[in-house]
Amino acid sequence: MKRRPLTWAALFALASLFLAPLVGTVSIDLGIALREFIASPSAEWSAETRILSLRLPRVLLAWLGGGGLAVAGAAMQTLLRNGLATPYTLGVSSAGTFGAFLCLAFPTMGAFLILPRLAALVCALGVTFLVLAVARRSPRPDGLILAGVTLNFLFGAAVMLVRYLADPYQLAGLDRWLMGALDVVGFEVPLSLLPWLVVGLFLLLRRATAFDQYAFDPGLAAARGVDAQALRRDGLFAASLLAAAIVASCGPIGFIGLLIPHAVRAGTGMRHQRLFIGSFLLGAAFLTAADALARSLALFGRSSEIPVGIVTALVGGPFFLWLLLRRAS
Amino acid sequence: MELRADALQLAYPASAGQVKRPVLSGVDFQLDLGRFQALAGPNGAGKSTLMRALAGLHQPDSGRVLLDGEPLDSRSMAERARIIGYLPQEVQPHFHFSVRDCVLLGVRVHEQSPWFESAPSASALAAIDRALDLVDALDLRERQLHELSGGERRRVLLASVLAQEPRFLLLDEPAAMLDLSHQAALFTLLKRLAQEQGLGVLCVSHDWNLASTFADHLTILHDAGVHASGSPAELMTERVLTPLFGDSYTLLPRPGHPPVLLPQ
Repeated sequence: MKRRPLTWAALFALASLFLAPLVGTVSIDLGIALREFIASPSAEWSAETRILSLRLPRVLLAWLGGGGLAVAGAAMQTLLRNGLATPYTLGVSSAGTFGAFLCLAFPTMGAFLILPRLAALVCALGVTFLVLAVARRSPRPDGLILAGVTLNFLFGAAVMLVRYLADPYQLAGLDRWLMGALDVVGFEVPLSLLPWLVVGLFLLLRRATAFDQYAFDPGLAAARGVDAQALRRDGLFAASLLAAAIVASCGPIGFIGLLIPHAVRAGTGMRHQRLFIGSFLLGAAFLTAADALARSLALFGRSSEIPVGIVTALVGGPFFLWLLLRRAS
Repeated sequence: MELRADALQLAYPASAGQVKRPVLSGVDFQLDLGRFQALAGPNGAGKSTLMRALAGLHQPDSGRVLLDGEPLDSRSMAERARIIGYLPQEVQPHFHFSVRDCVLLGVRVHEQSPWFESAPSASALAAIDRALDLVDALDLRERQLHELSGGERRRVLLASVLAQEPRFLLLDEPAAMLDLSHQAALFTLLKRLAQEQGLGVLCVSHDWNLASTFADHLTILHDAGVHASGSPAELMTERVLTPLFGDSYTLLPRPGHPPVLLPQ
C-alpha cells in the first residue's frame, strides 16, 4: 500500500467493478451466466443473466459516482484550505435534494421518472453559480464556507417544508432518495452522468500542478505564476459541477468526499495529479463495495436492501476514526 | 537587468469611515543584479508591501514596477516566476508536504509538467538536491515539513525559492527564527549568490546588525517613504537612526564593520 498506492487503488477499483455485480441477496453462478451470454447473447435469458443485467447499471453508477465524489472532495479541501470540506460544503447537495423532493412529493409536476434527477441537477447547478458569485466577492475561503453552511441550512429547511407538505404515503420514497438513489433501471442514468464526470475531471486534472502550488500557499502560488483567483473560480466550478451531477444521479451520498481524499493523501502525498487519480479509483471502489454490501445484507428479516448512504457512513466512519487515531500516534 | 520601483504609490483599502492609509507614497527603489541589498525600517514602514509590489503581487495605485526597463505586468505570471523568486514572511501549508515535494514546487516553474508523472524527473530531483544543499538542508529531504523546527522550515522554504533559479531573490525576513550560526550562514550564502552568481538579492530584515554586516546596500523605509539609502557604514549613524528610534538605542563602534545597534 505504501510503495505503489495508485496501482493498489486501480486494482481495488477494477476488482469492485467486476465482482460487485455477482453479489446480492440472490447469489448467482457466474459460470452459467457467462456460458449463456457467450453462447447466445440475444436468446432468452435465464434468471442468472437477467439479474446480472439488472445489477450492472447500478454497479456502474456507484462506481462513477463514488469516484467523482472523492475527486470533488479532494479539490474542495484544497481550494477551501479546509480538511473538513466535502463536495457538499457549498450547499450543492441540499439544493439538489430540494429539487428532487419537489418532483417526488408533487408528482403532478411531471410524471417522468427522470424528472426528479433533472430538477436536482437544475437546483444544484443554480447553487453552484450562486457560490461562484460569492467567491468572486469574498477573497477568503472562510467567507465561502460560511455562505455554503448558510445555503445548506436554507435548503435543508426547504427540504423539511416539502416533507411536511407532502403526502405521508410519499415520505418513504423521499427518504429512500435521501439515503442514496443508486437503484436505477437501465443504463440511462449512469450514461447520462458520464459526460459531466469527464468534463469535471478533465478541468481538475488539467490544473493539477496549479492545485499543488495553491495547496502549499496561495500567496506563494501567485508568486510562482499561478493565477490563484482563476484557479479557485475554475476549481470550485468543476468540483461543484461534479457534485451537482452526482447528487442528481445517485442522491446525496455523503462521507465519500471527506473520507477517501484523506485516505489517499496518506499514500500519494500532496501531488494533486496522483491525489485526484487515486481518489477517483478508491472512491469508485469504496462506493461500489458499500453498495454491494447494502444489496446483500438483509437485516432483521427485511428482504429489502439497506440504503447505501447508511452503509457508507457505518463502514466509513470507524475507518476514518482509525485513520485519524493512527496518524495521531 | 534591474528591478525598479518608480514613484510607487500604494494604500490599503480603509475600513468604513476611515481614510485610506498610504503604505507607500512615492517610493523610488532599485535592485541591481550582483548586489545584496537590505530593506530596513520600523514596523509598518511599508517594507513588506514594497517587496510584494516588486514581486508583482500588489497592484500599485500609481507609479510603476519595471523589470529591465519594461513594466513588470507586461510579462506573464509564469515568466515572472522564472525571473523573480519571492519568499513571504509567513507560509502556511494547510496540508502535510514532504520536504522534497515542497522544493519540487519551486523547480516546477521551469518544467512544463507532463500529463501524468508517476515520479519527478531526474533533472527535477537533481535541482531539488542542489537547492537543499545550498541551505545546508540535504539531510532533511525525506522528512515532512510540519515535523521540522521553525528554523529548519525556513531553510527548506528558502531552498524551494532558490529552486526557481531566479535572477532576483526577494526574501521577507529570511533569518527570522534561525539560530545565530544559520543566520550567519544564510547571509553569507546570500552575499555569495549575489557576488558569484550575479543574483540581485533583496532582504527585508528586522535585524539591523545582521543586515549591516553582510549587505552591500541598505534602504531604510520610514512613514511610507524612503528615509535613507546607502552603504551600511553611511547609514548606521545617529543622524539617520535618531529620527526612527529617538533615544531608545545606542551605537557601539566595531572595528572593520559598521557600528552595532543596541537597544537601551
